[in-house]
Parts: sequence; structure tokens; C-alpha cells
Amino acid sequence: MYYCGVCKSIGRRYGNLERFGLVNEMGMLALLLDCISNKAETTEFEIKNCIAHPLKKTPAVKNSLYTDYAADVNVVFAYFKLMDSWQDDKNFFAAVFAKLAFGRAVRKAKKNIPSVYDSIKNNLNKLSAFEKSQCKSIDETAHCFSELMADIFSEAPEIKEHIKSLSEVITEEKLVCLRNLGYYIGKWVYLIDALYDIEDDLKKGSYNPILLRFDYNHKETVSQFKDRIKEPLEFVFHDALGHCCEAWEVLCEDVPDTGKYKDGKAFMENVLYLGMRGKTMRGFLSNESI
Amino acid sequence: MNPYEILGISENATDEEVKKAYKELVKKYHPDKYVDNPLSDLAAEKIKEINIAYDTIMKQRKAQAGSSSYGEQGYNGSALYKEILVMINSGNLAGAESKLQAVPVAERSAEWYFCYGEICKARGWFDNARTYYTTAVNMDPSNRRYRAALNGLYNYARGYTGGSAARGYNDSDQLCRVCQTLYCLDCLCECMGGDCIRCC
Repeated sequence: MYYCGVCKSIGRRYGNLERFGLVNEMGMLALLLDCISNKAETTEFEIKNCIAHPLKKTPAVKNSLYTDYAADVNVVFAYFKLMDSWQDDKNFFAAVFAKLAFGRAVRKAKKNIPSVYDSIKNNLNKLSAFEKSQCKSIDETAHCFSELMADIFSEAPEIKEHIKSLSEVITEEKLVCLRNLGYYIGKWVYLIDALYDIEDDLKKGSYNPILLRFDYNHKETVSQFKDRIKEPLEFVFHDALGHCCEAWEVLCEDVPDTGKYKDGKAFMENVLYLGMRGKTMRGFLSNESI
Repeated sequence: MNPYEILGISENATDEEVKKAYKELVKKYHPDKYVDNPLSDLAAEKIKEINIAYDTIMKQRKAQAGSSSYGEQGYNGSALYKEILVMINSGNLAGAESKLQAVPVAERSAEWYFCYGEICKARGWFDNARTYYTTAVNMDPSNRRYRAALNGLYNYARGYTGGSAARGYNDSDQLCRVCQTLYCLDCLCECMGGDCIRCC
């Protein structure tokens, strides 16, 4: 539903072509920020037709602050992703599509979220430099993406203002936690992508930090490799999630346990403690056994 | 007014107790509870007072702790590493890192690897930190500080898996196991001439 809300927001504010770049995570981002923002008014939903499934009617979050924010972020992301595939694979179509569909939209998004735009641009550049130099440290490569997520979280509208209404000491503590939550979610997302991409990257011979970090040896099968790295890598995932949960608890400790907050809190806890762990565990199974 | 009185606690309360009292009061006077209520101004006033009281207490305590506890803690490494550790503790990671990198490779001791591990840990780079701590432990297996640091790295991961298990996550699909057990039981019963699940 948040996903639909973000999609509608892109369509309304940018154009229909730009909707093609939407990724799932952005719905999650909107939801999460809405939970943390701790606003009194409840979220409104509307039943609308879906552009991808014209016959289906789906509920969508009515344009809220965070669906708009996630929409801006998504446009910038989609643009850089296309430009990246132009540079890496010389995918001509991607470059043309990027310029045609996203040229104007990206300028608009840049105006809406200037500091986040800069952060995404700089960190993605750093990331591709790491990829080119075949960096072997998963912490260092993931750091670029984590920093970028940390900026997306700490620059989100109105959350800072809400936090600032608290005591100074607590404000400082909470702002650190907000950044940390973004940082470690970013780390988890980057590494989980790498984990799920192992098979593909092996076939294509593309960069994958996990393959390099644990010295993949061409004599072993993917499932042997995954078994071998399970213990040391699981620790990294669980550690990142541990930091996420800690930051999350601090962020919502003064949020009342009633009504809207309760659902949002329970949902997020469920995602952090159960969903993300399950996703991590499944990542270690090789494709044949799923 | 005495900040402790505002929070309704004694001056001997621990930091945890102060924080707890603060949080309870913030919840009590949360602006959401006073929307369209004539008392909303009063509640806002109260929140301000509570915030100031909490800040005053925490800042006082921090200042006291800073002036009294900074003594020698029986550190036995060289002066250089001591300086580096102080830098790490105060958050100057880049400075500490450049000092460490200036040490020639041949002179890098277990303490060097330990310090590098500390920098990585402070950055949240736990995989790198683990590599450095492990090297330090291997170079000097008798050092307890290195072992403790390596063990401490797992705290977050352990806390997480514990928290997730408490919320009902389990690795070994227990539901599956229940079915398996029932099926076995049924087979056994049938062998003996009985039947505990009729349909199969």
C-alpha cells in the first residue's frame, strides 16, 4: 500500500514513464519513516486503479510527506542506476532512456532534496570506484551504500524537527540513532543483495564483495561456498541487524503504546526481528534448494 | 528548582533511573494527549521543564565523570599506542588511523592490530575488526584484553538473535517437526494395529 502510494506520487509529480524505475524498498522506506515520524494524524488510504494491473483496484496511501520523499529518492536512484549500466555495460538503451525519461525528473528531484541528491551521487561514485579496484573488504564497500542510507534517513523531512522537541541530550542521542538505523539498514541491504547475487555474478564474472572477501575458489560449488562462509558472514548480518534494533528501540522509546503507533511499532519489530533474519537465513541456501 | 525534584527522583538515582523517570514523564505529558485540550499549554510548559531538568542532570554527571575517572588504568603498552587509544576513545578515528599507518610493517605488534581493530569497531566495521582482533589474539594468546575485545564483538549479533528468538523466530521449522512427529506416531500406531489419525 505504501508502495502504491509512492508509485502514485511519482506518477503525479513526475510523469508516468518515471514510474518504471520504482523499486520495492521505497515503499518500505516510506512506511518506516512514517512510523518514526510519530505524527498524530493517521495515514489516509484511497482505493485506486493500478497502472500496471489496470483491472485491479488497490488501496494506496494518499500522498503523504513520506511517499513523496521516497518518490524523490527513487527518481534519483533510478537515474543513477541507468547511468551506471551505461558506463559498465555500454548499454546504449539505458543511457537514452535515462536522459529521455529521467532528465527533467532528476533536475526536479535535485531541487526537492539537494543534499540527499549529492550524497547519493558521491557515494555511488565511491562505490563504483571500490568495485573497479576489486575491494576485498565487505565493510568498506558496504560503507558507501550505508552512508547514503544514513543520509536519506537523517535528512528526511520533519523527523529531525520532531526529535528536536525533546531534551538536548536525548536529541543528540536520537539523531545518532536515526543515522545509525539508516547506516545499518543500508549495510544489510547492500550485503543481502550481494549474497543473493552470488550465482549471477559468478556467471557474469561481475564484482561481488562476498566472493572476494572469502576468496571464492573455482573448484567449489556455490552451495559449498555458502556453507563455508555461513558462520563468518552470518555474524556480519546479525551484527548489522543488532545495531538496527538498538537504534530502533531508542528512537521509539518515548512513543506511546497506543493506537496507530502500536501497529506501526509492532509491524517494524516484526520486520526487523523476524523478516530480515528470515531473509538472511534464506540467502545462505543455494538456489537449487529453495 | 532542583532538577531532581522535577523528575521526582532522589539525587542518588542511577543514570538508568533518571532516564526512566524522564521517559515516563515525557509520555505522560506527550502533546498528542492534549490535542484540543485547554491544558495543552500547561503540558507543553511541563515538557520544557522536564527537558531542561534532564539535560542539567546528565551534563552535571558527565562533567563529574570526566574529571574524576581519567586516571592510569594499568595500561602496559608503549606510549604511542596509549596515545592512539586515547584518540580513538575521543572519536578522532582518522588521526589514530594515520598514526597507526605510520608504523613500519615490520614493527607492527599485537597491540598494533588490537588498536586497528578498535578503530574498525568504532566505525561499525565489525568484519574488519574481527580480522584485526583475531590477528592480535594469535600473536599474543595470553593477552586477556585482546580476547575480551574479540568476544565483545559478538554482543550485538547475540543480542539480536536472542531478541529475535524471544519474538518467536526459530531456525529449525518446529511446525514441520510437529507434523513429522504426528506422522511417525500414526505409522507406529498402525503397525501395532491401532490408528491415531484416521484419515491416513
